[in-house]
Amino acid sequence: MEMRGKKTAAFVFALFWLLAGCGTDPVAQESRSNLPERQAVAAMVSGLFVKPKPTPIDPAAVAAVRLALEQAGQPVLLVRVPSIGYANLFAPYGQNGAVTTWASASHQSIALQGGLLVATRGFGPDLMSANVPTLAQVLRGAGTFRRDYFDLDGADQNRHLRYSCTFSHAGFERIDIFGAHYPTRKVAEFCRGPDLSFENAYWFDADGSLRQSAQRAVPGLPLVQIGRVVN
Amino acid sequence: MRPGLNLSGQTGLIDLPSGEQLADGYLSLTHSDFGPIARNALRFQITPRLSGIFRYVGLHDYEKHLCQPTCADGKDAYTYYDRNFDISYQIMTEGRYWPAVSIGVQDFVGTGLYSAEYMVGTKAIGPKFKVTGGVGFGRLGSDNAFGQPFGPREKIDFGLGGTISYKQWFQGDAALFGGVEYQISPKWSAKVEYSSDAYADESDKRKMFDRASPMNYGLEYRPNATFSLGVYALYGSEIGVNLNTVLNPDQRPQGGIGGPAPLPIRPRPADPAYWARDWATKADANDTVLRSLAVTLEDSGIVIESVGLTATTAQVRFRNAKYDAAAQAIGRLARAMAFVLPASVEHFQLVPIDHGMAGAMVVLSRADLERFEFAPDGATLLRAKSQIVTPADPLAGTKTNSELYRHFTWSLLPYVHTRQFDPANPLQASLGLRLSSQYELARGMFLSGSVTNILTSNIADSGRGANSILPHVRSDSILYDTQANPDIERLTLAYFAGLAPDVFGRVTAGYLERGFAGISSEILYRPTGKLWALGVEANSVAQRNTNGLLGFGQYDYAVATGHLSGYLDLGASYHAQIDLGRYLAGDVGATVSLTREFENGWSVGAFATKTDVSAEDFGEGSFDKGITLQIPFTWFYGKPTRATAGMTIRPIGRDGGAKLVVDDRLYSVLRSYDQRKIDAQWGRVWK
Repeated sequence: MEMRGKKTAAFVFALFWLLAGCGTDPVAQESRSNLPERQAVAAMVSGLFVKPKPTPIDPAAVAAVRLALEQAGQPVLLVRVPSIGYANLFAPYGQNGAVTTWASASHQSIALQGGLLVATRGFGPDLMSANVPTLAQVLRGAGTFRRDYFDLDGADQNRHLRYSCTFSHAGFERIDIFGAHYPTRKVAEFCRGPDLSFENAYWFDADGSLRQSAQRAVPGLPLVQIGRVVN
Repeated sequence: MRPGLNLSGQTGLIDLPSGEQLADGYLSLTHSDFGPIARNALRFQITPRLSGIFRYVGLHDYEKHLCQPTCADGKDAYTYYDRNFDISYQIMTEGRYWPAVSIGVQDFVGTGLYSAEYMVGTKAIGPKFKVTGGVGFGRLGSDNAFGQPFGPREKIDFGLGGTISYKQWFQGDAALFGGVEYQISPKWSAKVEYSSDAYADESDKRKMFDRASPMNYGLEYRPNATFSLGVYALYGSEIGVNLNTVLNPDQRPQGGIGGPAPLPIRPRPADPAYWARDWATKADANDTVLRSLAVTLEDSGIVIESVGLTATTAQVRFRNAKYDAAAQAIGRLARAMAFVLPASVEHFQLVPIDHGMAGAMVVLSRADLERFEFAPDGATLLRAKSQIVTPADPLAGTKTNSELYRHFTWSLLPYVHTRQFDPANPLQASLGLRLSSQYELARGMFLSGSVTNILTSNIADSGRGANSILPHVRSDSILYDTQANPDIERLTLAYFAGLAPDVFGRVTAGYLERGFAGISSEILYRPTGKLWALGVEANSVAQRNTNGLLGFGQYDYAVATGHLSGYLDLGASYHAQIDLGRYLAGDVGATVSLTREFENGWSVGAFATKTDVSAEDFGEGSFDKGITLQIPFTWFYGKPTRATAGMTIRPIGRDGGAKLVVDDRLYSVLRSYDQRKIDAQWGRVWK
């Protein structure tokens, strides 16, 4: 079975490659760069025969990675998008005024203005820009704000969505980020718009700095979880 | 409740139409089979109320009964193929108390085997129930007619086909039809229909099947928005199946385009020390910037053609091999420029170059890039401060990327060549490999060629030969299809250049297409920011031998052909082109093309050519016409690529109104850099 799976994978890969052709013509090269990697094709095919087992997380390995990151001294974020099974570590990539761009090694980026998500890139369905509250407003845990979101649809046309949001205190929570525990104070933001309602959440350290958040981006990225691993 | 599609590919119940239309721009493919009748239909929702269908119908056992008892020449196994065009227009949309009402004409061109007209209404009653009722003429008035409200119907004198049978519309017997649809669950629905189509020819005369009852019953399954499958009990004697694929070209299924995140904008520091201008006087400044930009843009699909600098302005000319949206290429380059250029450079001029020609110039201010990178709706703000203008001359001292020319590229790709609608076998195809190569001698000068070799093919010459009385400029295509292997499709030397602001020229010489070789020249006037362009093309060509090699003499046919072409962007994503001139067979006339172009690169169009060749001399079909489709690969990949697949469906290809095929006509090369086209996807400037 294993053997046959491998052979099939090799065959499918060869077929993909044949269809993509070969050569040095720029458009052909670009088309080929869009094809799945050999490993991805193999995984796809073998996945048809054997269900992949979820790998158990080894706390020791997580601790070792965290230690290495802390020693490197660079700020690091853990970014997760549960709906698409995405998780990666992000490092600072750019700074423009109050907005910091963070990027992953797999070429996604997120832009945070005082910790609030104003843009994503490299995911496909991306948040192009947004009008967001200040962190101080969130921290107050009271009041309202009118959010504006801009994204592009499947015809590359600009879409504008507007939500009216209310902040409230949501108690105290002990959270875990990449193997470390933090006592936090939680603020919830409830937003209502013409198409849907959603809730963002923010977890603050005792000193009022943002430790973790879960924020809506666009329909394709309904919730982006951002946790600070290394300050 | 979503509208369903009937066996003919029209919005409808089971075999008959309904008053509904699909959503604007939707494209659907239908394959249905019932008894001896197979139908394949392509339907396009041209506007929210108007739709058109092209259908190819195969009638099996067409002669089986009539040829008895002495069925010679395989007549008992003969299949008759028919091509239909339908149009449907919704005169009333559904209201609270009123039904949606559509008027349609079916198979209105040519033999009119299926010709019918109807007016039909459909009303939803509650969320799960839908009622349809209508009145039909022609075929749809052929069973249980109640009279002839608009007088008798003349028999269609179709001659050679291709003519519109409007004299018969809504004439003759009229009959009522109708039915109901019930949605059992979100994925399943049941239908019952009373048909007014007597199938007199198929059932009574030819005994292809027995129409025992006017009632049809069906069950449909729709697992998602794209597919639907129906199974039916038809006319008391037959089982039918119907498979539909419905696509919305306007929306990429993945939504926003993927691909790696861009470089962030690097704002300039406030410290005056960074703002010195003396760097611009250094001899190697242009060269240094060119090399830095090339490194920054490595693997981005953008290639720098040249860099010109002053202390405050940078003009960068570039090629875009990757981005289907010009705006995204412009944004990526602007980001790289903001990353690399000294702080004193404030004005960015970005000039996309295609085939050596400057298609446009986008002028951006660096301060705006810094200001609007994360501003809400930053793309709109940036566009308001930017200009798309006729390209300015390169700045003094411009440095050109020396690696670009004397550059050889090649590719080896599989290809499929189809031969459609041959009555002997309606879908024939060959699969093979195509080796293409190109050598860029200097800016805008290309030596290029392609050779194909067939790996497998079911294209067969029935040996009937072409009966055209015109020069066989296209009707011998079967000879090329079967005899040319390997086939030197093209071998040309082409030169492209901007001749004056907004004026472009092209000369292509050599083996231009598989049928013809010679010289082709073209001039295009394309004023920046206008909705129109004008072109003139003159070609002198001779017909090539059918063996795919470089010789002539088999035909001893040479012709001077050319056109005056007008291009017009009609707005709301419609585009028109009119060509006036002389065609390959020496005939003189005009081609009108109307295309709907979606912002994401899809296009669906139709064209018709009428020349001074009479319908008789033209032969079957009377004049040249067809449907074109252009499908961007991004729609499937969800990542940027400029690759597209094009398709032309010609119900009948003959010698009249045939145009020379030349690669890279100027308008199509420069089109992506029209202001309208850049603006249509401007949102991607920040992607």
